[in-house]
Amino acid sequence: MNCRHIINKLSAYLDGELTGEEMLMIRRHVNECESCSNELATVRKTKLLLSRLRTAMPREELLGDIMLCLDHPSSSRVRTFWEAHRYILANNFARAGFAAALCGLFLIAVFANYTGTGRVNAGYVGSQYMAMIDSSSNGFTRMPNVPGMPYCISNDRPLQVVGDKSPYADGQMVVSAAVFSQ
Amino acid sequence: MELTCSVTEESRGQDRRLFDQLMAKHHKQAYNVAFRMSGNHSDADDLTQEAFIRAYRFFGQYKRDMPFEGWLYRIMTNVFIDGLRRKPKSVVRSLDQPISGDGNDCYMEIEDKGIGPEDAMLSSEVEAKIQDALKTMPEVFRLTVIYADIEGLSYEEVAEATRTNVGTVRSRLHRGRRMLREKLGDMDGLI
Repeated sequence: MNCRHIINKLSAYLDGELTGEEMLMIRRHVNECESCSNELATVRKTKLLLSRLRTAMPREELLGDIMLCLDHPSSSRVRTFWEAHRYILANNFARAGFAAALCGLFLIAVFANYTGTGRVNAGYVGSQYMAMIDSSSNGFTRMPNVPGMPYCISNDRPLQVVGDKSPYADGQMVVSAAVFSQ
Repeated sequence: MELTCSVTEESRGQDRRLFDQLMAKHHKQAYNVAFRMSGNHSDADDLTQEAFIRAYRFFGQYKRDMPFEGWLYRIMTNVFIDGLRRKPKSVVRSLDQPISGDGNDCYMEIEDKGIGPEDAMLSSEVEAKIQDALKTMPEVFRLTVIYADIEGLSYEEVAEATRTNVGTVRSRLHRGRRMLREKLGDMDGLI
């Protein structure tokens, strides 16, 4: 066993947490190797320092306060809940807002790409915007990049398309106006 | 039905009495561990309270023939790690550095509520130095060093408290002590 292996086991050796055979082997090595012997002395000093730390004493009322919390579990639960969540609330507010915005965008994207059969999820009657018409299914896809385009609020209003229709190669058409019947 | 209720209540009362006894016996020791983990009295107070409240909530799962402190330390470790996840990283402010540097420098003063110097085993400076060094260590190493070297738990008990195995404890303790030694520098002047 080389010094590196011995050094890795010096803490356990000092704590008596090795097998008898390992203990003997390390003892023999340390007696012969100055470097490992110095290392053992330093580990011993570190352990000694830590063991000499004062015991930190709690305030006198602590025990009574804990018992009080146990006597009134509801109040302690409220406090615990608040303690547990205040940091989350404080630190993740912006993150939660961002997540909500992302969810919103996702929903918008889902509805914006709706290709129904002439029924839409939302829209204003007589609103002027471009819509992509899927002539094969008589449905349409609303274009999310049109400024001022109304997004979904109500459900399933029948769609009637009016205005100029320009056929596209892929079978879709662009209309200049779309009317949603009531 | 009434009999069942009264038996349950009686057993709950017995549990509470037993828990109170165990708490009275171990709360100082638990507080000391909490203080070494957190590095300040306010957080140690919170950590101790939360640990005992959680321990009471799960007291039914405590095996009566096992040492209570080992079980409690396991809960404390969880509470401590949970707290670290929730809390923002604390700002470390040096007491030697002025608070503002705009010509109106003032220094922080902290009331010393500790015991008198005649009772101290180590000087306050050395204590503070060790506590600072502990605080800068990664949590898993800090917990292992605290349980093994300050509380004097065996490797098996440390493994139980930190939910790991003895081999990991051995390695963490070795690395933890090395980290501490590097942070403390020359220790001959400290002892």
